[in-house]
Amino acid sequence: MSEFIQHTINGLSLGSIYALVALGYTMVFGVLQLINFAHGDLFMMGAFIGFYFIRLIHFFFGHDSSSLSSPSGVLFSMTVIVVSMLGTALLGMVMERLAYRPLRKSPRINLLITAIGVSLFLEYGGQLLFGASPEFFPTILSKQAIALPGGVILDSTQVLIFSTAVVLMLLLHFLVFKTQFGRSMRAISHSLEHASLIGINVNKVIMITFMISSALAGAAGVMYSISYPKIDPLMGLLPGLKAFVAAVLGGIGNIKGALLGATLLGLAETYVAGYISSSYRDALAFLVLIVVLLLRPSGILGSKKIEKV
Amino acid sequence: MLAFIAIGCILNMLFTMSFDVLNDFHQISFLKPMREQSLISPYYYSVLLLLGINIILSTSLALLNGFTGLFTMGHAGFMAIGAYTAAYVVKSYLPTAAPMLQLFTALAVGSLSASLFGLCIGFAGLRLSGDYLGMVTLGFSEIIRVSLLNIEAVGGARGMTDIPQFINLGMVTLIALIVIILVKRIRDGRFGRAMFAVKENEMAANLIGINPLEVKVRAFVLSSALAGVAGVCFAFSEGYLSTQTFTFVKSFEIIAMNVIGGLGSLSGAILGGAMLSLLPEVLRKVQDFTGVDIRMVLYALTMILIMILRPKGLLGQKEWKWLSSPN
Repeated sequence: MSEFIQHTINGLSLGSIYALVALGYTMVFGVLQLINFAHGDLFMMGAFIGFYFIRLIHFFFGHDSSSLSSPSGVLFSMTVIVVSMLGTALLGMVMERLAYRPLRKSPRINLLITAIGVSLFLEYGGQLLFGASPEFFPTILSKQAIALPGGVILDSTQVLIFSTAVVLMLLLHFLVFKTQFGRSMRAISHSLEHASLIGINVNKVIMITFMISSALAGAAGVMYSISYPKIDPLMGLLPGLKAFVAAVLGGIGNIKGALLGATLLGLAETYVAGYISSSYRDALAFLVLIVVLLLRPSGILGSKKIEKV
Repeated sequence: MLAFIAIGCILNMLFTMSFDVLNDFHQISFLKPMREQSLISPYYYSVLLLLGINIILSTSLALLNGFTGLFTMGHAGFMAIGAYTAAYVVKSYLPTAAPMLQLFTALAVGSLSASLFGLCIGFAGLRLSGDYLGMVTLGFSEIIRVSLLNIEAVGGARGMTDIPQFINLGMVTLIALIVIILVKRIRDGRFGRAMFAVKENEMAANLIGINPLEVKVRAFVLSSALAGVAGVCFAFSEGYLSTQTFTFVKSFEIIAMNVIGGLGSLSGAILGGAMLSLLPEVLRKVQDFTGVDIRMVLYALTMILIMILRPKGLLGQKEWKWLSSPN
């Protein structure tokens, strides 16, 4: 039983990282009907921005390993996450302005190919800039095991990841459902044309949506590298794809669906790796996806579109 | 029908002709890669080989993405199935057979196994449309890849080695030409019109007596069989298979070939396939000039720029004269 709880904790921690990335996918899909394949690479850029920021701090203020476990360690991790979010938000803005906005009126498949192009650009640009060999993400928060009753071990980094993810999601929920901006964003996801007719500045809202979704990916990138500290320019590919699968699982375009899908996927992955075999771990996400889509063709929470003549 | 038989006869002749040359090659040295014995330099040989294989892939995807309007993101999976099954069958059951027999077995096994998977995915994907179909095909191809990675009989993570290399550049060119002509004839025939009808409006197609489900499944089977052929060409010319070749990145590349050339155009698929295979090699010259490995960055930029400047692809809906439709 304690093993099961342990897997559940690990799964929730992984699922919350997937959720942050999946939310970005689903928001961009909501406003533009675009599968932003470059999203996984923003995740990678987030990790690298965090990495270089930590190096900069260590260069100027020295490397003090005693502060890792103290509250200042937590504070420092938060700062790194915020800096990464700002950096990726800026990158997302530039990306939208230069690559996606010129294509606003062209067919969707063009946007998709452009997204693939942007993704390749970030990956190879990353290899050029950061080098192709993996880097080691410095430890900014020491792993402190918190023993719970029943032999279950809670990691301090897991607590940080999970709580940060929850805070970010609550903020997002507030932004999307309680503010004027969120209202215009939801209007655009209903119909871009109608939204522009009633005086919503479509370009501005889409740009801010891109910035928010990129910032979430950047935060997820830092959190992922805190728990799996090997980072390289291609690290975003698989987590990005899995987060996308999570978004589709829940019903793409649906924010609650992305959360549900990501949590399910994180749990399923850790259970399979723990109880069956870790070699099929990467295939599992897709198996779950196929089964769910065959039973419910538009995802778990997705709304069905009825085709009319 | 008669035309098909006639083409078949001519191709048979061509096959046997090229095989005389091939048998000579095999007598010289069986395991030596043929690229070392060809007239052009090994580098250009590999580039042209890849070009031929990419054109086969791009043409086969045109059947689904371009003609039937089915958005699939898992073409590399079909290619992997064709390549691995054919290589496994030839390696374990026909290791010493005549190259001719090996080639025909490989092509038959590769295309059949791939089309079998295409049939399954076609049926499974019938309920889905748009992006969801794309996701399911992507999922299938990744499952195929991870499964191949875990099957020890085909080499697992080490990859499959020592595959007889009896397919040379001439053979790939020939197969690519056959595939192009075949796809052109399919497009111009009754079935081709049905595919375009389903793409334009499924419900209207249904009203004029076309069964859209049947058309979709048949398009899947045909397209995956051709992708399997491309896999066979790849396996028996490289001599080495690794699952790293068949990731979703490869599938995206094939879609990009179609869209950059012009979605819905056969000539576009060929042009796009040729362009995306040659572009990295052309950019190698730029790299000599700049000194840093900026090649793939420029490749990605070119992709984005083509999409922004020519949203319908390089050719749009147009066809070259020799591939244009008579009706």
